[in-house]
Parts: sequence; structure tokens; C-alpha cells
Amino acid sequence: MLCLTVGTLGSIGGQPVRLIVFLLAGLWCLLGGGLALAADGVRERLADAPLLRGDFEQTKHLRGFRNPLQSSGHFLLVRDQGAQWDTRQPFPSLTILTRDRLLSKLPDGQTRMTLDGDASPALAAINSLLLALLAGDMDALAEQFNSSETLLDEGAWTLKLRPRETALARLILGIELSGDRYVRHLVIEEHSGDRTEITFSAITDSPTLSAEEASRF
Amino acid sequence: MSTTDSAPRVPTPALAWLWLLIVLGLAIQQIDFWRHPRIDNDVMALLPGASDDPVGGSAFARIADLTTGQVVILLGHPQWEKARAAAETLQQHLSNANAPLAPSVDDLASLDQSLALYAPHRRGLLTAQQRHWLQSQSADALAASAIARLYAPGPSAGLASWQDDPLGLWPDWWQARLGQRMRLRDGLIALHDGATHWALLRFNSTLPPFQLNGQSPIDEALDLASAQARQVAGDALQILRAGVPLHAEAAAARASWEVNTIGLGSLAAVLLLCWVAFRSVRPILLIALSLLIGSATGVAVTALVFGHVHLLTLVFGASLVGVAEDYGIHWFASRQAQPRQCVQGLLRQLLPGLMLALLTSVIAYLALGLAPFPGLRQMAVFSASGLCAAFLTVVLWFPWVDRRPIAPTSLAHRLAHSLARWPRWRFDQLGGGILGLALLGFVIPGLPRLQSNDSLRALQSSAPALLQQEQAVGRLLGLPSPAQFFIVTGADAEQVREREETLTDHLRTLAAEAGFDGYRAVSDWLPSTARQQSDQSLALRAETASLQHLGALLDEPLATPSEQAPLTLDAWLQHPASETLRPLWLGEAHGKWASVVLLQGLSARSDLASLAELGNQLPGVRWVDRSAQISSLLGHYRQRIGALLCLGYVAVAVALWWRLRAHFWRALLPTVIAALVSLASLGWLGEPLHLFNVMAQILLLGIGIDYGIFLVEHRDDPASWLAVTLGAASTLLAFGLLALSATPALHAFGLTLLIGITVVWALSPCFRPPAVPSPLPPRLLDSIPPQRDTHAH
Repeated sequence: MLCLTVGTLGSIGGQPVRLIVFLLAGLWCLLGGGLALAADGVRERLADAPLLRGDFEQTKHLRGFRNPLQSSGHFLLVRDQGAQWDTRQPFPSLTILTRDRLLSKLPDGQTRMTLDGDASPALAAINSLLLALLAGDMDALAEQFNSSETLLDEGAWTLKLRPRETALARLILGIELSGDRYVRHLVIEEHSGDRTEITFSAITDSPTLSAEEASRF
Repeated sequence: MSTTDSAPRVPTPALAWLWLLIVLGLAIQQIDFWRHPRIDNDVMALLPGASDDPVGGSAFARIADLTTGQVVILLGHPQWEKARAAAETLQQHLSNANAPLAPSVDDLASLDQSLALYAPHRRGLLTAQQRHWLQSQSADALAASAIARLYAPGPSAGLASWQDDPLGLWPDWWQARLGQRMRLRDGLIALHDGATHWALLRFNSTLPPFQLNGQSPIDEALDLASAQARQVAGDALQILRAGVPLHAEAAAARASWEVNTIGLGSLAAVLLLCWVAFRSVRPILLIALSLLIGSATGVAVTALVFGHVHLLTLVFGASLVGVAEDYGIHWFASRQAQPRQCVQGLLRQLLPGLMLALLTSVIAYLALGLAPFPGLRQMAVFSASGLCAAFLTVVLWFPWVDRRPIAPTSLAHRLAHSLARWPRWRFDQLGGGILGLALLGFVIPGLPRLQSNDSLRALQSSAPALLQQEQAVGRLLGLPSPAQFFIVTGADAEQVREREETLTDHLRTLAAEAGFDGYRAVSDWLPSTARQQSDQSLALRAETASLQHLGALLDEPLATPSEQAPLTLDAWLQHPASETLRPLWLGEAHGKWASVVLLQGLSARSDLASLAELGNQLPGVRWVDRSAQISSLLGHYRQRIGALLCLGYVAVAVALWWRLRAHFWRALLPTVIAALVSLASLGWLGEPLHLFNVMAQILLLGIGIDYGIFLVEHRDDPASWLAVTLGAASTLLAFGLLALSATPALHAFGLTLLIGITVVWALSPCFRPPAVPSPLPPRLLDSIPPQRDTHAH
């Protein structure tokens, strides 16, 4: 829109002015990616689905452990509600993330509320960050991170995020996302040296939410 | 003219010089005193101390120490960002070097410090829920829960890495310590109260504890800073302030106003009356001198006996001006009436009456000290010594200093001779009968309306707005009540903590029913060694199982957790992190150890009886309700001193009969009627009856009886009547001003004496003895011009 406006203006003035204005306009449009809202390219390429299901594989490289911790299972993501993380290997457990709560359920019936929204805002911030990452919610991420995107062929992209605020920077060094229609790969590097990698596969947006799944939230 | 039967010895000049020396010493002491005034502002200092209950008394004092000097400010706004911005603005405005408040503690730094103290003993510190969870689940189930936590999606964040704390017990323990409501946010302590986000700021007062200059620096600084904060955050911002320095400052400012008003007002009234009556500078100067010496002596003797003077004593003592001037006024009235009498002879005439008046007044004031209330004892000592000093000044100095006669004035003459025209109460006459019935009609319905109310509020003079804010802050912060608590005793420190743990276990279940929110106890932060060890074994069991399971899963050996030593009492007491709780630990006294458990959220609806019952059931635990204790003490003394007052009336009657013989009832009856009328007035006005009203009745007896005595001693003496009238006028003014005080106890004093003295003054001449028959017929008496009027000024 900015380019159009500048273009119109250029047509009004005389010949030399027109040239300069067009050059400026062109430059302006090229740079537009940096000045406009972050990750426009990625935003365009991501499918905007209210519900996503699929499989995940998570690898955690933690300090103090020689071997990485690997887990896999199914996930369910519902926009505006949260995510259900159904780990199958190596250890079955169900984790329910919503904006306010993080709940762990074990097959023997134990339920453990890991955090309550009011109780600790730091952990609540991490929780909402995780939900935004899973959903590919660029607006929410743009508030907290500086991003730089790389657009690739066939609709693929990668996005690097660096935290803006020092409070978050104390926890997280950087995040790298990559995917095409959906977020396929997620790497979180923490300040403490821990690294979490999650790979998503077999992502679909059907079937819709069953009653049992809805009741778990 | 007078009825003295024996001439007392007149004081010699040597005594006058001795008094001069004493007064000079007094002047030096006063100059020194007022340079660094040792003035006490604490309401609690007025109350009886620890004699009956040493442990309870020291507990009370230690708890008061918890918050002295701290000012708490809460800024609330529906949006957290605005509240935060307002808090930062306020802090900025109070951060320059001259501000009366300094920020209290750096909360983030103290959090690190506290972590350093407790972290090495972490495994022995569990909350009750955690203990129950660890006990009820098998080791395998706990390990499963820990591993699920590790494998949860996304980044990990917490106070310790997973291997140190697989079950995540440590963050929960910390959160439980901080309480449900409070958490750190953006570097400030934040609270959420349903609709409003509050930011908490704490300050310490940097000013010396007491200033009697009528200014309120803390109040002004806070008002300025609050206005700035309001500009930043808008009108939806609420600001609440609380803290002992605010009350102390307000009390000091109010008391300063009252001392000035009452003291200077009474002084001005006295001097004006003297001027109008005597039209000469000398009486004014000399009476002012006697009052000055009297007040200074009061302050000096009180400071000597008690070590410091309480603010309330100063306010009460300001009213002494209205009573101590009696002696000087009697002197000058007599001098005016008998200009040709030599000063020695005059003194001889006046001395018996003056001494009897002094005696009754001093005894009445000293009777205030009967109850074991340091505040009342201070007032008693102040007033008694002040009166004696004023009396001595008049008796020892005035004869030497006052050489020239005082010319009579027309007002003095009119007042003095009004006595002759004052009606006498004759019961057989219609006027007397009607007046008697009217009085009965006033007194008899009025007396039953009196309700007794022994609350401690009688000594509290804080403005209601300040008290409301204090209560609101206490509710929001869950501050414990300092007046009701449990005292836990035991043979050693370990037993005390174990008993505390038993008590707190009961309190947790009792909280909802008995109507309180929570508790604060040392054992919450420093459990007994036995408990720390048992908790540690529980945690170790679960953590070892978790690490073993994970090690098997990952196929790598993981280090098993090691034992940690329990946190000891000495280490805890010495660390700065325990500072806020240290006053709760009473330590050892008389071979027993004791500590205090405070309750949060107590209100008028709480079931204190069930808490008292709990105290009775558990060994070594005692429930203390300090405000109820003091109220019952006040009530107890109200009744005892009421009985003593009746005895006092009998004793005075006997003394009067011994001195005045058949006419003794004439001196006593006006005071009795005045006492009944003042009590009935309190009933009609709806004022409650408490100990201080009864004390005021004692004063009424002591002061009112003087008027009757003078009228009977100096029968039909116009000079005496003039002195009584002037004295009553100044006393009325002084106590009337005292009735303006914001402290209900002093207000009660002032009101009772205002009403009582008016009635005594009005009725005393009605009961005066019949006139001495004159040798001259009455008509001739009127035709002789009074010789005094012909003297020029």
C-alpha cells in the first residue's frame, strides 16, 4: 500500500523527480519486510487451522545427562484453548497445556498440577510461549521476540527468534522454527545450555475435537 | 473574719532562699530536658506491663517490635502496568536524600539471601501437602510422576535442575512460604485481590522517633509523592498507607496542638481574668511565674521518677494551669480586700484554707495512681508535684515579692459582693423545692442510661480514616493480629518446635471454622529436627527411586542424592534472612523456652473461644488475648476505684466534720450533687462509662470540695468568694479545653469536670452557713460607702 501511494505521488511530479521517487519507492518496498510486521512471509505460508493433530518426537539435551532424553507420542492443538501432549514412549503420560495451567496425568490416575496461572507468572509466561510456538502464532511471538526469516522453495521457511526482554533472555537464548504449511521442527536453546528439539509429523486438521478430548481441557 | 483557731508559723526567709535554689536547679534541668526531650509516644506504654504475666508481656513487646518504624504503602489499579508505574513514580519521589522515608529492603536481594540459608537443607523442608503426598504414594508412582515432569514438552524452568529436585518440591515449598497472595513481579511484591492488582512498597522512617513540633513530615512527603503517582496512573489508582510511624506522627501533631491550645488557652484565660479583676501587671506576672514553676516541676519530677514523659501526660498536665492558679488568686484577692493587713498576717489567715485545699487536691490527683496504669501514675505524679510547687511558690515568695497593695477594681467588687445576693437554698421555700425536684428529675432517669465500656479505644486518638486504611492493609496483606496469639512453651528448643508443629497441624484444620486465614510460626520455616529428619527420609526415598528409574531408562548411571544435615536453631537465628521472624522466638527465660504463634486474618467474627479451647487442650500451649485482658483489667479497676470513691466521700466527710464541725455538710453536699449531675449528663449524652470517668470523679471531689471549704472557712468573705469565682472560671476553661481532646479518656476527664465544677460553683454559695449577725442594722450597712473604692489606682 505504501508503494502504491508513493508511486501515485511520483506520477504527479516532473520527470527527474519521478525517477527519484520511483527509486525510493522500489527501495522502500524491498525493505518492506523489515519495517512491516515481522515474519510476513512465514505468516503467509502457514495454514491457519483451528485444530491440528499429529505425532511428535521430542529430544532433550540436558546438562548432567550423557544421553539425550527422547520421547514420542501424539499431540492435539486447539486454537484459543490449548494443547494436549500425549506421550507414549518411553513413558505414557498426558500433559494438558492451557494459558493458565499445566496439568500432568499419569495412567495410574495420578494428576499433578505443575503450575497454576496466578501462582507463578514466570512459568505462566513459558507456558504461553510454548503454546504460541506450537500453534505458529506469529503475532504473539512478535511481541516477545525479534525475528529473522528465511523463505525457501516450495513454500518452506525457517525463522530465527531472539528474545527482546531481558527477563526472557535470562531463560532462553534463541528459538528456531522451520516448516511449510505447518510448523514442522522446533529447536529451543536455553541459557543454561539445555536444548530441546521437537519434530512434528503426520499433521492433519481432522477429525475434529471429540467430546472426551474437549472435556480434558 | 476567719475561723482559724491557731496561728500557724509563717515561713521564714531562709525557706524562700531555699526555694529559689531549688527553682534554679529546676530551670537548669528543664533547659537540658527540652533540648533532648525524652517524650514517649507509645499508647502501649500507658498500659500495665508484665508484672502479672511476664511471658505474655514480653511476647507482646516483641511482637510490637515486628513492625515499628515500618511504613507500608499499597498502590492498586485494575491494570498491573499502571500500578507498577505508579509504584515506581512514588518510589522515585521518595528517594532523595532528605526524604523522611527510606526503602526498607531490597526484596530480590533478600530472596537470594534466604535461598542461600535454606537451600542446603532443602530435603528436610516439606509442606504438609507434600508430606501427605510422599507418604501416600509408593516410590514407583512418585518416580513416574517425576519422570513425567522431566519429559514434559518445552523448555524447563525452575529453581533447581531436575537432578537436584526430581519431584519439584522446592518451588512449591517457597510458594507456600510466600503465601497464596503475594509474589514477586517486575521487581516488586505484587498482590491480586480479585479486581485490583496491588504493588507493595515498604519504607523505614529515617526521622528520630519523636518530634513535638506539630509537623507531619512523613504525611506531607507521602501526599506529594502520591499526587505524582496519581498523575501517572489516573484516577482509578487507590493508595493505602499503614504503619506505626504514621499513627505516631498524627498523634504527636494532634497532641502538640492540644498541649498548645489547652496550655496557652488556659494561661491566657487566667491572665485575662487576673487583669480584669486586679488591673495590675504584678498579679499577672507573679501568677504566671507560679504556674510556670508548677508546670516545670511536673515535667521534671515525672521525668525523674519514670525516665520519660508520655505525650498524654503532657496534654493532661496542660490543664493543671487551671487548678494551680487557685493559690495565687486567693493571695491577690485577699490582698485586694485587705490592703492594710500586713503580709504575714494575711498569710496566717490564708494558710489553713490553702493547705487544706492543696491537701485535698493532691490526694485526689494521687488517687489517680491507684490503678496500676503507668499512664495514670504519670498524670498523678505530674499534677501532684506541679500543684505543690505552685503552692510553695505562692506561700514562700509572694509575701516577700508582693509589697505594694493591689487597688480594688469595680469588677472585683461586684463579683465579691455578689455572694451576699446569692440565694440560699431553703428547702422549705418553693424555689428550693422546684430546684430540688428538677435536679432529681434530671439525675434519676439519667443514671441508668450510663453504659460501661472498658475498651482500649479510650486511649486511642487516631483519626478514623487512618485506622480504616490500617485495617484494609492488614486484610490485604494477611498481617497477623498483634493482640491475640498463642504462646508455646517447652523444656528445650526442640520441644517448643515440636509442640508448635502439633498446634499448627490443628490450626490448619481449624482455619475455616474459626474464621482466620493462616498463621505465622517459627516452626513453619525452621521445623523441629525430628521433623526435618523424617521429611528428609521421605524425600530421599522418592528421589532415589526417581533417579534409579530414569537411570534405567536412559541406560546411564545417575548419582544418588546424599543426606543433608538439618537446619539448626543457631544458624537460623544468626542469618539475616530470619530477621522478620526472630521476634517470635522468645528464647529461654526461667528455665523454659517459649515462642509465639501469630494468627492472620482474625476479625470480630472469629471464634476466639475455640482457639482458647485449643490452647487448653494441647500441652505447653496457651492462648493469650491481650486486648481482652486489658479490657477486663480496666473494668476491674473501674469497679474497685468506684468503690474507693464512695469510701473517699466518707473519708472527706469525716475530715470536714473534724475541721468544720456542724457545717461540714455544707461543704460536701454541693460536690455530691455535682457528681450525680455530671454522671447523669454523661448518661443523657450517651457517653460510655469507663475507668477514666471514675478517675475524673475523684478529681471532681478533690477540686470541688475546695470551694465549699473556702466558703465555710471564710464565712461571708467577699474576697474569698472572688477568689473562688476566678478560680472556678479558670478551672472551667482549662478543663473545657481538655474536653476538646481527640483522646476519649481525656475528653471524658474534661467533660466530667466541666459539668461538675459548674454545678459545684453554682451550688456552693447556696449552702453557705447563715450570715453572722451584724452589730449594725442592715439599712445602715448599705448606706456606708465602701472605703476601698476611694483609693486611686
